[in-house]
Amino acid sequence: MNQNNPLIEKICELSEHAFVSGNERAFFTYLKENFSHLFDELSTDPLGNTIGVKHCGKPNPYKLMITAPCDAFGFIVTDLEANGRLRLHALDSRRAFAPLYGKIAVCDQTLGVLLSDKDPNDCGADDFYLDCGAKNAEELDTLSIKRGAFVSLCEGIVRIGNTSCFYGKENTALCSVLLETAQSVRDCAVDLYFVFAAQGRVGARGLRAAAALCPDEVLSLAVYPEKRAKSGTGAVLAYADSACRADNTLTDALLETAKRSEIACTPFADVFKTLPSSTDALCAVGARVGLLGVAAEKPNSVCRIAHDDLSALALLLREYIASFGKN
Amino acid sequence: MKNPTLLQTLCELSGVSGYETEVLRRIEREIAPFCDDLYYDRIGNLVAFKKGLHGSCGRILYSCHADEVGFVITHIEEDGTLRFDEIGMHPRVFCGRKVLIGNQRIAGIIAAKPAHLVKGDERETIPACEDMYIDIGAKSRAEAERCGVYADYAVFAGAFCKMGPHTYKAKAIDDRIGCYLLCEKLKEPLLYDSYFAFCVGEELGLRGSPTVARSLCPDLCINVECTTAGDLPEITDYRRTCSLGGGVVLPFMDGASIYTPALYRAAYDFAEQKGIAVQTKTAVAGGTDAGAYQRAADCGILGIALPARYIHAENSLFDERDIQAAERLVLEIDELLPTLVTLAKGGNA
Repeated sequence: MNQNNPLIEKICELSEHAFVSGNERAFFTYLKENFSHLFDELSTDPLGNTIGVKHCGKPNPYKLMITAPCDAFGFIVTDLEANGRLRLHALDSRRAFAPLYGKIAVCDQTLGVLLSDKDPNDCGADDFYLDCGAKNAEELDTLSIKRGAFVSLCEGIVRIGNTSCFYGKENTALCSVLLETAQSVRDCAVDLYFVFAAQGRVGARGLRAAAALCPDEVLSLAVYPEKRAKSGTGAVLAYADSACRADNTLTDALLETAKRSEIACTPFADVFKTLPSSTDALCAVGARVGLLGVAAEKPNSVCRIAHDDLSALALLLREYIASFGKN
Repeated sequence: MKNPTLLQTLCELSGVSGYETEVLRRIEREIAPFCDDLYYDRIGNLVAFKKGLHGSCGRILYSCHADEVGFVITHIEEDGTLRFDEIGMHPRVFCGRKVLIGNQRIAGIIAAKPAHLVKGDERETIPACEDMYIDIGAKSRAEAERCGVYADYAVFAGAFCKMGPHTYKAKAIDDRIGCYLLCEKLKEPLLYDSYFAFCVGEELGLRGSPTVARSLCPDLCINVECTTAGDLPEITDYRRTCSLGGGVVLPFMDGASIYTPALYRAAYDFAEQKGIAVQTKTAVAGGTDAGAYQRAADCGILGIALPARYIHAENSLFDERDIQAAERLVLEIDELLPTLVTLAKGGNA
């Protein structure tokens, strides 16, 4: 199914790029160049969220927001050391050790290997450095790297059968689901706001700023650790995350949609406390919040996701939006 | 330093989070003649507006916080000692320090079980807040109450003074330096219309600034702060974060925010072009109101900070040359505002 699956093709395409937390402007530029035709409006806000809107044309329309984090795991350069190393700070310490000894890039240009003097299990956010071949500060100077530069992983995704391993880029899978949904929806009865949220890995900050859009209803997408939800069981519906409880009627409506359309879907009563979330900000502006996504094996390292689960999620979104009717 | 007397006055005032009135009233008196509008919002932030010579180039906000770390008195024991809780600090900096309690500035000493009576593991550990008390010399609860102690606040009593050729020490430089720099900026002609916020409750968890963010909806927020310098013997390499005498600090990231990258880069280049001594932080530490502005107002954020050693303690050390660099940058950044606003509106490039 993968060979001609447009969703998986989109994932592969997005995964070729890295949009590190805090540097999501590049994501907006990329979407504008390649996917602006999917939306009536495509814009970015100062925090870095990319917002695509599909209008229904009605006065005072119902606002349905579908959101997913868009940032990839990466680092930021904090210091240029006298021995030629670049000291790095991990932008999401939960998975910082995973890419050790892997190839990484500063500003998509200077390549190097990610190293640490510590045992991987003891690594904190500041215990990493990049060896880019410079022997001392003078050699480092010639590379024109500055403190505050963003560092991304060079690995794209690795496809294994009907699954993909993402190495810190699993959010591209969710973003691809959003793009696929935007492409499939035509002539909807509500205004659709597709929010590709910035800084998801450093405290889910983008979603807090996106609350200013004052949606009536939000479908918040996430990758859930497989310990709680099972990979290969379709889309996952969560009743709560670390910041809010999902709206019961909305969750029921999503379940009903899945049942009616025979889409694989698994509800979970567990609270995913380990995932940073800002869905409380959406509740605070009066939005009904639904929590859904896919399960991943080893989310803090290889992050393996089943393609069928992603397809089920995209299908569920499409059918749910269709349930609002057409103009 | 342009006005050391004002900085000293501001540092020596009491303004624990929730009790910022004394500081804000002093700032109000200082800046009122230079503002076109000046008001307190509902949560207690002091907000000023001043017109610029060239009108508006976007909604610009300069912000700092008026509160400081300190203590709240939670209970008076029968023996006249005071139980307390801390705001924004670690107990390692408490024992033996002199504090001033409430508006009456009643002197007290933070104390715990004396060293001679400590045994075993107790010798190796720092007493927790609940194991310490403030001794004001009262012999009973009634006597303490007669002194005027009630549910009150307390601040460190650290005096403002010069040490060595360039170094000063003071309490509450975090963030009276921000208050000082913005007061001095308000006294000068501005190129563009600007708002100035002196926020409350930062040390309690960035509580005042979101109110300003939501009411003013700025395009650009320049947050003026104090940041921790770790240039100490036991701290090496990048962990030092920044150094005294290294210049004004422009951070690219802290625990609460990733500063808008384009603004950071533009301001850093601007400072270098102007010959202003500038440095950045080499480790991610602390968090400021800038994070609250970014999330609540979705605006571009730029941080300007003074490096200081031992912040969130009785005495902080800072270098007057860094203050001079900060004064210049805060004043001269007006020239860069149209560029910064354009970059801020363009997202986090």
